[in-house]
Amino acid sequence: MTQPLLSVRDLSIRFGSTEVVDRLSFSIARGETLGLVGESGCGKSVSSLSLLGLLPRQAEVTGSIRLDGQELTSLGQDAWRRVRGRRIAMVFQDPMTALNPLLSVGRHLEEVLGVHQGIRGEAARSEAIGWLDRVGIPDPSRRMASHPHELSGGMRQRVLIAMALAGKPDLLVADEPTTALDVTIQAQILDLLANLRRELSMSMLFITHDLGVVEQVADRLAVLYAGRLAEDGPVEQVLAQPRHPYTEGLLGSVPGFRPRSGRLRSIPGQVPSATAWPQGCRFHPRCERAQGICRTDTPVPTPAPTIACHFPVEEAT
Amino acid sequence: MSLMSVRDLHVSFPVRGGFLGRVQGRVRAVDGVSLELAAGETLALVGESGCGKSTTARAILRLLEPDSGQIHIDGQDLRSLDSEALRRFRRKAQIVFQDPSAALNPRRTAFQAVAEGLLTHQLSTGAALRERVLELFGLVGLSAEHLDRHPHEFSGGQRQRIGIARALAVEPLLLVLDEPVSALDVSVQAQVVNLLEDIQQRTSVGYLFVAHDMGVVRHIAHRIAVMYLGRIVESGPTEEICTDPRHPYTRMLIASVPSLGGSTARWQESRGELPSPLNPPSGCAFHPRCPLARPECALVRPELSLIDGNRLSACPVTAP
Repeated sequence: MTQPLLSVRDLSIRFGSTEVVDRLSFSIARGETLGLVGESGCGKSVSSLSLLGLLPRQAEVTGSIRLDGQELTSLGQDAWRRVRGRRIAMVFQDPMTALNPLLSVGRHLEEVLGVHQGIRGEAARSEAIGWLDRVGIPDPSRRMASHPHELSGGMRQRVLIAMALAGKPDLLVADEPTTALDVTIQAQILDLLANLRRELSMSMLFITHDLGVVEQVADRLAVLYAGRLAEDGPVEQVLAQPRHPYTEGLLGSVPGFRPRSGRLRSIPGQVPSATAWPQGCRFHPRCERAQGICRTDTPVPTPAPTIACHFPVEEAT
Repeated sequence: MSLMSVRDLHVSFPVRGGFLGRVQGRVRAVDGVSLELAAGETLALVGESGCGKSTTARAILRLLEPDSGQIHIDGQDLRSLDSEALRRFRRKAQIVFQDPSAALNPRRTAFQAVAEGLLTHQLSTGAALRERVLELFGLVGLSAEHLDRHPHEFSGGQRQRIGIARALAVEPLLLVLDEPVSALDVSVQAQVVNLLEDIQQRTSVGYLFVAHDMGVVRHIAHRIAVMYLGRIVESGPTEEICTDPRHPYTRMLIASVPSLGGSTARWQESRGELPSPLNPPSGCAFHPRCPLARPECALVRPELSLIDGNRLSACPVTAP
């Protein structure tokens, strides 16, 4: 089998005595989109920041992150700069805070093109206009002079996508890129990302809390709970037949877009906090399948398709 | 008889600009909205940010003063009430806000938050007050140990439960829920949705449910009204709207919903963006984004009209 583009092994991230990610492993093949799903505090955003070396200095990272076989966790700042933006790029949730309010759209893009591709001056300008056009911004040459506050949320997100893709990365990390947008605009941005990903044959790590969005964009789905991987498998398989009780509960909690059929399943209790993780399987206080061993022993993830549970939901026959 | 009846509601806000900040015009946030809600019914008001759904909900309770229109709740004409009468009336209609952290006073305990309405309306005092608050806590799934805690000691879901208990304390007939589950985690969202349904079955309270999540709306609402740029463009029973939307905007909205297991036929590719309410398009406000637009759509503003049975749509092009 060919080596995956990105391979994360036993990634742990701690802030002081607080461990926010615990021995996380996953990989992304070339051209593949992995959906990373979980609720607030599950560690999905922190994990994604670690892929770009963007964690604050006090974060303690152990384990391995390999891109095309190259270990990233040991890179110095200079080496990171050659990876970030060029090999792995990121699109953030809030396009307003990710753009500099004082700079025009054109300057944003020209800067990226200068840093990553060494394209400057007139060439950078025409390349930038080309990118604005590609991400569906109407009247791109006029829009070059616009400032972020003059754009709608959807248009700002298009600019961010153009900036992320202008470095021609192998992997795009998209952290809740449509969460702040209205649903009709979300649909446009998801279509745009899917088309560009295909055109540029990129891989994508798509972080979201919305299972409907994951179904639409991802090939594979990894579910995180309380800093650990709960389940990882092909998206249709995990959604149709979740094996981890948390995934099952999460799916039952979402009404989906279908006719009403009784009460929502819901998961009792609430998401635990990183300062007080439960012992053993961290889902056990909310799990109806939990038994003695779940309270004491951390379940070991199985090889693919990955499930980290002592008593997984039986496969339907 | 309907619990809530709103006729031709208009709300506008001044637009200030220039060096002296003079009023340069008015933006019509709500532009002729009419709604009906029966006891025990859930009406969802849906639309995207800036469409005026929250402003409509607030104006109905006179938390914002409407420019014109009639509002009747439980037979009472709300716009005729003076401030004292309005204060007394508030017992009948309450609101739950989206952000439970911003809606609760950080210096007051959960008990104080929930007891306040009971004290204001002189419904309960002393030992009976504590009993009643405990009962409300039980109703929303909180317990006695939570009584004397402050908002920061609760999770988001628990805070929203306090917000709901506070609103229910005075036994309202109408509860306005302004995006009540949008700020919550998915697993907790389901708990609150179930809770709201249980409460409605027990008390026959009417819900005006303001939301943008079509999945939640399809699950909880009996009827849906769709807003676009300050106006209702379509309304009708939930399943009919979700499976057979008529207005081109509703079609675009529903086609954009990520489906999760269900099927959303791609009636219509999403295109364009919400125009500025400061400078709304002429005629039908949706015409610049509408694939079915005809020349007359830019000239004449279509009125909401009956299309069949109990459905209304403001599109003459798709009307039968």
